Amino acid sequence: MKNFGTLFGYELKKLLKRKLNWVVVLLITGVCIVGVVQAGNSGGFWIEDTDEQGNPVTSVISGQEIRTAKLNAMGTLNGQVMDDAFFQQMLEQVPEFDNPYEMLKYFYHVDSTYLNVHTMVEGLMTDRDTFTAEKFYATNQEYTQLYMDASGLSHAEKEYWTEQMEQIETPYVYRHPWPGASELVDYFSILRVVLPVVVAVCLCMIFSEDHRTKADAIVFATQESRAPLYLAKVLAGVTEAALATTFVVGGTVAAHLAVWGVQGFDAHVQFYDSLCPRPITVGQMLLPMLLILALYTFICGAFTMLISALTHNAIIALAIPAVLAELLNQWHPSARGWLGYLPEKLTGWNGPVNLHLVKIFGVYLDNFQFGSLLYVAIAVLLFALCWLCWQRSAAGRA
Amino acid sequence: MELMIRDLTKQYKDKRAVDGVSLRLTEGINGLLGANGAGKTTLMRMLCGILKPTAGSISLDGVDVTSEDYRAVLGYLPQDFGYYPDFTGLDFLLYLAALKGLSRPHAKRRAGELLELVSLQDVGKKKIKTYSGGMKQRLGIAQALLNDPRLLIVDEPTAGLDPKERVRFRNLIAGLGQDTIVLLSTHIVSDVEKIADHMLMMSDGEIILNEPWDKSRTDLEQLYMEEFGGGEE
Repeated sequence: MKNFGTLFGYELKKLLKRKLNWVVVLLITGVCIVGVVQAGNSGGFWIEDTDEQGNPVTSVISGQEIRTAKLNAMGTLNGQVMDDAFFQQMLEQVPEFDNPYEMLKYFYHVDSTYLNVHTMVEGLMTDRDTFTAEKFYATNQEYTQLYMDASGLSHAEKEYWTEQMEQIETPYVYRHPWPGASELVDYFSILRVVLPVVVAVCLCMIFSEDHRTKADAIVFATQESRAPLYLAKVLAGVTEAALATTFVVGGTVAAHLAVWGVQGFDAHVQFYDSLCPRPITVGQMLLPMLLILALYTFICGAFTMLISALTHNAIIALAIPAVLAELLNQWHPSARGWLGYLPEKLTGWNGPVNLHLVKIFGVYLDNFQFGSLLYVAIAVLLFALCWLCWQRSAAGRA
Repeated sequence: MELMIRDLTKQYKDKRAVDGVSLRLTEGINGLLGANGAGKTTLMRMLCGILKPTAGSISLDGVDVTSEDYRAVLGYLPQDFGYYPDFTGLDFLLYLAALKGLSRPHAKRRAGELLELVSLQDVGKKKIKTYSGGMKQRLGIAQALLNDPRLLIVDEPTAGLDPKERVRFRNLIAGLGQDTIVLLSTHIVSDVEKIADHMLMMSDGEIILNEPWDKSRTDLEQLYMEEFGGGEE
């Protein structure tokens, strides 16, 4: 292993010198950025209404208007304590709506100040006249408990989350959550398909190119051509995958920041999803999801390397992981049990509200913590299988 | 120093490429002649540990072919091999030197020496994809010599070289046989006639001639024709 650094450097050089890798990474990053910017201004609502004469009229709230309204709402209520006076003020300012269209028109055309707060209380407010802060917190807690029951949590899990909820101070001090959170989480579904393809393109030749070009005859006749070379290739592959992920995910996140601003990551997650019992901020919710996405990409990279070592065929090593990732992304089972650790669940809307725990050595791990360990273990297992295939080739049994 | 080969066999589905070969090779140049398809390349790949024998054993001074210590003293130039086209000649040698366990300073010095030895010092920093076939072959020879091998296996090394380069290569190999076991496979008689210390001939996976060679002899071609019935390819 004395030349590991040199071998790693040359293996990385082989990958980085492939122009196709850069073309694909930059192209996909560009497409993602354009997609985010376009999505930020597209969409909208079609509202069916009637004019003064009672004739039906269709009006549109554009995506641009929605984005502007959401951004205008940023910071206007920040720092206010969500007590009786706060809710009273909201009820005085926001009229009662007869239908959802009126609500949309009000928040997106008239005043978006209470848009997020209204969304938080909408489902909890049974009677507008008797609504108080005490009722808000009590109902919120009650609904969270009901959600935990419906999720089939054990007594110990419920106890754990109740303790976690107690760490959240009430009354809340309002902090507007980052408005791009939902859009970013939605965009993860695209990244779950795109990232496996990008790493498959980058890594599909890693264990097949020497075989194709017959360079393996020279390589395998050398002293360090077993474990040291394998580890150097794997580390170079992981580095390349990390670089590609950084470009694509970094570009996507940067585009979201450009569209939705950079404020609101320190808002409690309850302002994003009021039923979430985790004592964390919006930023702390998104980071583990990004970590899981990166680890999923490494699993795809490890799988690509395994197929490359197994088949010595770059086309197969590119096609199989890409197709499997797409099929996996199209599969939408319930999030019960092990299925809750699917990438679609952990990096989707279900991730922050999946409250199942795993106890390891007396310590409870939540779905993100255990999911991270699970993904690392799967990647290690795939690398171990890849080593067996590689060793088989090196020993001349292939 | 001796390379011991005992009952070495390689069986493919319906073909026995190497059939119970037993040899003892010592320092010097060992020429291995045989027609295409005689089993030379299969034998050499097994001697390099990159092809697993069906039966038999290979050891160098008691060190088994599968061990790292065996590969540490091995130099191998395959008949047909690939390069990394975006690497420079120097990069290629430094990469192989790292694989052969040479320290960075030693690798740099050795790569410089070998580029000079094979007359590639002026193009060492150019990409391999700009090299001619002969230059690539010379680079292949240089990589085989990086670790000062005690066992050097060269398979059809003059294939694709022009007559001038073939002579230069033959002279290069001739100077290596003093402290090294050189096994040089070819089907071109003139490649080995004047430099070999020991001559081997192979046909249908078997060794049919195994004897010391007197370099002053001039009847190798005749001997070859007798053994292979005029079948030189």
